[in-house]
Amino acid sequence: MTTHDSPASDYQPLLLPHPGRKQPVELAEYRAGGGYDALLKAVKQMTREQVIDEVKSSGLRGRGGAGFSAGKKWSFVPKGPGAKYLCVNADESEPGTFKDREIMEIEPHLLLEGVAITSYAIGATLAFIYIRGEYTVAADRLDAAIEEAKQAGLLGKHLFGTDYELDVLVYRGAGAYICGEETALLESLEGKRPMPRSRPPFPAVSGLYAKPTVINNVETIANVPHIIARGAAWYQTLGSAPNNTGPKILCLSGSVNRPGNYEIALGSISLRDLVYGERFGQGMLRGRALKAILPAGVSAPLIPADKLDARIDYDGIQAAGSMLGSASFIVLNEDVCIVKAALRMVEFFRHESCGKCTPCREGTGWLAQVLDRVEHGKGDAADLELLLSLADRISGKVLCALGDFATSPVVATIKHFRAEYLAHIELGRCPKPEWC
Amino acid sequence: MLSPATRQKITDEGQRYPEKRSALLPSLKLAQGEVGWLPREVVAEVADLLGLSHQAAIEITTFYTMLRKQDPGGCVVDVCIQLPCALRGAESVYRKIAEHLGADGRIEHGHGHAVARDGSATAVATVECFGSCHRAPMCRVNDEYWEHLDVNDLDKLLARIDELAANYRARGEAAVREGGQP
Amino acid sequence: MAEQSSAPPSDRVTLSIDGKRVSVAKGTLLVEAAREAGIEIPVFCYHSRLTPVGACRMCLVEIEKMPRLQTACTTPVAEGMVVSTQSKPATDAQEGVLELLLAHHPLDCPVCDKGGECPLQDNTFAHGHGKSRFTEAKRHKDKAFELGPRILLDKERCILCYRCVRFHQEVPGDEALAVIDRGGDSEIGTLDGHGYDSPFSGNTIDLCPVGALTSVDYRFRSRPWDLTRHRSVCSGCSMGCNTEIHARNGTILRLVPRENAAINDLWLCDRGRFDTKVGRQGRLGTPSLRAPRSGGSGDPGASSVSWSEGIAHVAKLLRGARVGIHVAGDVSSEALGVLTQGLLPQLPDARVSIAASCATAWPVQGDMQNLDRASAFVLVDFDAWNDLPVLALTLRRAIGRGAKLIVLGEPGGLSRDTHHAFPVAMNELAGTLDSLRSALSAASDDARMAAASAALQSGAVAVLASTASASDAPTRTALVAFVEALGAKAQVVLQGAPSLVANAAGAQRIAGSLIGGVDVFARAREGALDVLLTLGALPPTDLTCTTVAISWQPPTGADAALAAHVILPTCHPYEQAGSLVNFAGIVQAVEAGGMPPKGALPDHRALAELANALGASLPLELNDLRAELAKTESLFSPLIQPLGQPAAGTRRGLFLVHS
Ligand SMILES: Cc1cc2nc3c(=O)[nH]c(=O)nc-3n(C[C@H](O)[C@H](O)[C@H](O)COP(=O)(O)O)c2cc1C
Ligand code: SF4
Ligand code: FES
Repeated sequence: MTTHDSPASDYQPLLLPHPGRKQPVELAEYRAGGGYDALLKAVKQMTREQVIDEVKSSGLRGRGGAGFSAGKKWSFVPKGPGAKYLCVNADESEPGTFKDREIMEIEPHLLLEGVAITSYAIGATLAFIYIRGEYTVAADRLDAAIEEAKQAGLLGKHLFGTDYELDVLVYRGAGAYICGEETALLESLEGKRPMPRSRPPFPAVSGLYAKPTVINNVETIANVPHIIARGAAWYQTLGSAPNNTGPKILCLSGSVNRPGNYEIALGSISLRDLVYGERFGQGMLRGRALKAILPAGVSAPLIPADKLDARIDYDGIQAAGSMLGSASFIVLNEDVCIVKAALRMVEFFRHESCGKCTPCREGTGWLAQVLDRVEHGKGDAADLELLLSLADRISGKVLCALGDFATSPVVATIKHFRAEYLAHIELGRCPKPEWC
Repeated sequence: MLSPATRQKITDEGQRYPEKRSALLPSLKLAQGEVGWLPREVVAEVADLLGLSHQAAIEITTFYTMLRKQDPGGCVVDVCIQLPCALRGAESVYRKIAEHLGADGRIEHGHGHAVARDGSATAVATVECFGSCHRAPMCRVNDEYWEHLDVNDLDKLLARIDELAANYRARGEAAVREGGQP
Repeated sequence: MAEQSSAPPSDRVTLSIDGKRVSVAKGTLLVEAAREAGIEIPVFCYHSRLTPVGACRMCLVEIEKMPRLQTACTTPVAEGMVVSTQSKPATDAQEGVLELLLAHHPLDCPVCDKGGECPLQDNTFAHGHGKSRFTEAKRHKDKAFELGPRILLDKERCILCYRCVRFHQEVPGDEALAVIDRGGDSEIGTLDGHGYDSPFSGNTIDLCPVGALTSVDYRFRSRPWDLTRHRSVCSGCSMGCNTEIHARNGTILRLVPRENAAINDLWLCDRGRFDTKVGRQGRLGTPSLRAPRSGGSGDPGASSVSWSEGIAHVAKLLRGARVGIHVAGDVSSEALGVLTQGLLPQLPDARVSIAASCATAWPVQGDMQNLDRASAFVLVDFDAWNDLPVLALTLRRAIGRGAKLIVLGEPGGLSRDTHHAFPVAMNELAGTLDSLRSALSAASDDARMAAASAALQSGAVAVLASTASASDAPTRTALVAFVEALGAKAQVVLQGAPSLVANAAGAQRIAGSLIGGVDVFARAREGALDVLLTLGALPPTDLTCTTVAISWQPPTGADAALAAHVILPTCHPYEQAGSLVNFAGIVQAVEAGGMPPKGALPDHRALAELANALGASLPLELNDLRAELAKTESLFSPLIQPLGQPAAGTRRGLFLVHS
């Protein structure tokens, strides 16, 4: 199969409306297209509860991975006086993920408008955008956009002439995947080692500086202005209510002809469309056969080639045995050695494990050692059971989901490609030494 | 060790957040911006400026990969070899850069770190995903992103690396001539 | 079945753990609820005095209706909760965590100081399973890394429970330790590698659940099963921290804290723990006599005599002579009692002086336990952190619960925790106190004064001053006026200027009038004395009169030749039973913790023998002696052991030496 025509070709992107663009949309341009009207509407015409209700009924689910209802999360924040914070999760460090980067680099005001509406809804007067340290261009552009918005009275004191005020600070990380985990992010922001916190208490009750805090992904927040501007009912027409509404950016990478960010209405295309569609991946690189797709970076189980008809939305990917997560699709072709791929993914988690909890700190290292041995032909038949048993000793027993993530490359690759593991053991070497 | 300007910036940073400790990470970055890396005395100086314990500062410094515990010399080349890049030939790119520097480009356990054979001016390391998977393979040279790399056409990249290393050496030699520390 | 509760039922929660019905206070953590029910859930990172972090995952248990296993150390109880610590998933998880923890842990238990008292060892026996499947290369790290002057770190043994780091963050708050690097490379350390130098560092040895943090002093010196343990009280300062002395063959090897919620909780400071080194080397066991200097033969020519000879000799020296007596500050209450009730009546003209360090111009009043519920502290030139370090921890605990700290004078070691600091010089203290007093009742235009006084408008307040400031007349006047004004607003629960020496409060109570009264050394130099007797110390070497020392200290070095004419060798404070009174008046018994040199007597015993030789008739056995002293000094009453129970300090035959 080469490429095919993809459906939904009349879809108008909302989050990344300027595909291919290199320069950011500045304030004047953003305003000319109706930008910040949603913020105006929220602060002038809506109560906080109304904003929350609108977002709740839109069905918007978090785009950072766990897919939790955004409106519901906001509603957990206690009403009444006292500091509250919004922290935008722009740590985007999941391998294969580069959507938030493009939103921030090209559409900074869309994000800022969402930040302002969300802050208003939860009663925060200070919002942080926690951005991974490597994204210096995006961070600089956000800083510039914040300055522009402040000058124009859209942020800062007396926002839009109301008595609501909001300051937004861009906080730059320094190289640690764990900072994407929401409580580690809070620790990092507090100037401590970014080690996840034990929950409860949940951040909505006791988060940043022990104050009620909402943490949302960049893409989640970028949805908010559209919901407020055009209403929950309109929003629900994108995708399929109740579980899979709204636009979604898919990050496509790996062995395809045209990697990149593609925005769709949830559920409007299949995995096959994404890889082979003319508007999307345009088929496999050098025409090689597809071996498997990772749908959520390296953090969720891979999906084998026989499930390419799965719909791309929360339910569809779950039905295919995995999770939509950050919607970062990494495509593996037939040349890939699955053991080496698993090793590479486990190495990622070993490297990024914060080290706080035992199973993840010790288990990821051990998994990597065994995988490395197997990859180099020094494994034996008992190693497969050892790997699965170690995965079991980690999964469900760790403090944060990173440890759980670390087991899926092992469990899923053994499940779907056991023969390839056995081939390493029988041959006493990697059957595909030429790969990579 | 830090200049008055940087010290002032750090003091200002200390006032920016609801709690002072939040200023630690940005301040360490400011210090690294000036010195090039974070020797322990500099870490201590940052902690003192913010009125925080030395341990608070070293805990942070050693956690994050972007905070440098060693002098990186003229430039550090970070080559991403996580899966999306690996699928598009990142390991060959890494080896080729290492080879160019006369360093051993062996990747062990998926992680490599090689220092140029001619000394400390350049180092090349394998790193995890930088969010450029759609422009893979990629590397970062100091703070510059180099994307869409082609293993058969790395001349511009290698020239840039050489240029940064040469600048660093020249600065060092100038400093020695002026009687200072290189 | 758990015990019936005293709290009202609404504050109680009933749950089931391993089929046992347990009723505990609301908010109790599962791990503590299980303890109350006699079920021990294995833990490493959890410690009752530290904020739970759920890091080690050793305490995973199964809770009905919860999708995952939960950490018992972070989960509060809930009504009707059904918990299993023994189900297959729970025991698998416990076994799994142990296997992972042990993967890189060295197998050097036979040479590890912690062997025999190691939670990792214990948990492995109780919850581990068979042999390790780990056949990969172990991580190699530093073994006896000098973290600081007193503490060694074995980086291979460390299981990263972070108790030590958390202790310093939370209890003293000095952040003396850090976690360096991350993930599997994480290590405990400090910024400059060997810079672990907190006054509380020894506590981390106790907290460490493996043999990673060990004492430089104690390393390789004993195994726990070879130690005898003796209940004691630290004599490093007047806090009165409870200790356990661990000795082997009578030699004191280490001091560890003994829990006492009212005083030291679980902690000791390093000064108390490490600074007292008690050896028998060079010390005397039997009295030593030296001819008066004038008739001496170069070498002191000291001769060792029996106790009865020695006592008789000293009695003869004292009878009818002009006698001066000097008493050191850490002498037990019993010895002081014998002095005042037994010896002095026999020597009516003696000049006596108890060390001036026992003096205070402002005796402490109030109940120490109130400190934990105080809402504010006012410290006047009083550096708790350095002077009574463990008291600083008590203050911090209250501050953690919201109490405010107001400091007048030089900022001491608690400056990080001070809410209102008035860093004035000694001669400005009185004025500052007066301003603060005025601000209590009238609006102050000094914003800092107003803010500080706001914290003093109600609640329970403690005011502590240094003895130096309390002895300064204007400051003392200001202090009294301040406390009086404060009393009209808040409840003053503790006040005074604690003397810092171990039994100052005991001396104040038993022999207050003798403290710092006459300068007996000056008297001796003036030629106004025939004999100077020192108790608990050696005399100065420049005296011409006859000197008698009742002391454990051996004369050393060049001064040995000039030491006292007579030495009646006694036990070190840690080798004798007795009692001490802490700065706030808490009376505590001390057991003998180590073996003195053969023959040496407890101070009170040597003094009593001497008093009797001069005509008194005091009982010699400690319990009888206390009963006798109690007739006139009530301090001793609670120390008397009822008949049939062994008196404190008589374990292990430490008085064999008496003939
Ligand atoms: C190890 C780990 C890494 C994560 N990284 C990110 C990330 O880079 N960006 C993100 O938005 N969420 C990340 N998450 C999810 C966050 O914890 C959190 O669920 C999310 O930010 C909530 O926002 P949302 O509800 O808008 O998705 C990560 C979670 C884990 C456990
Ligand atoms: S699962 Fe890993 S990353 Fe998460 S807390 Fe545990 S050690 Fe840290
Ligand atoms: S004791 Fe509960 S996680 Fe360590």
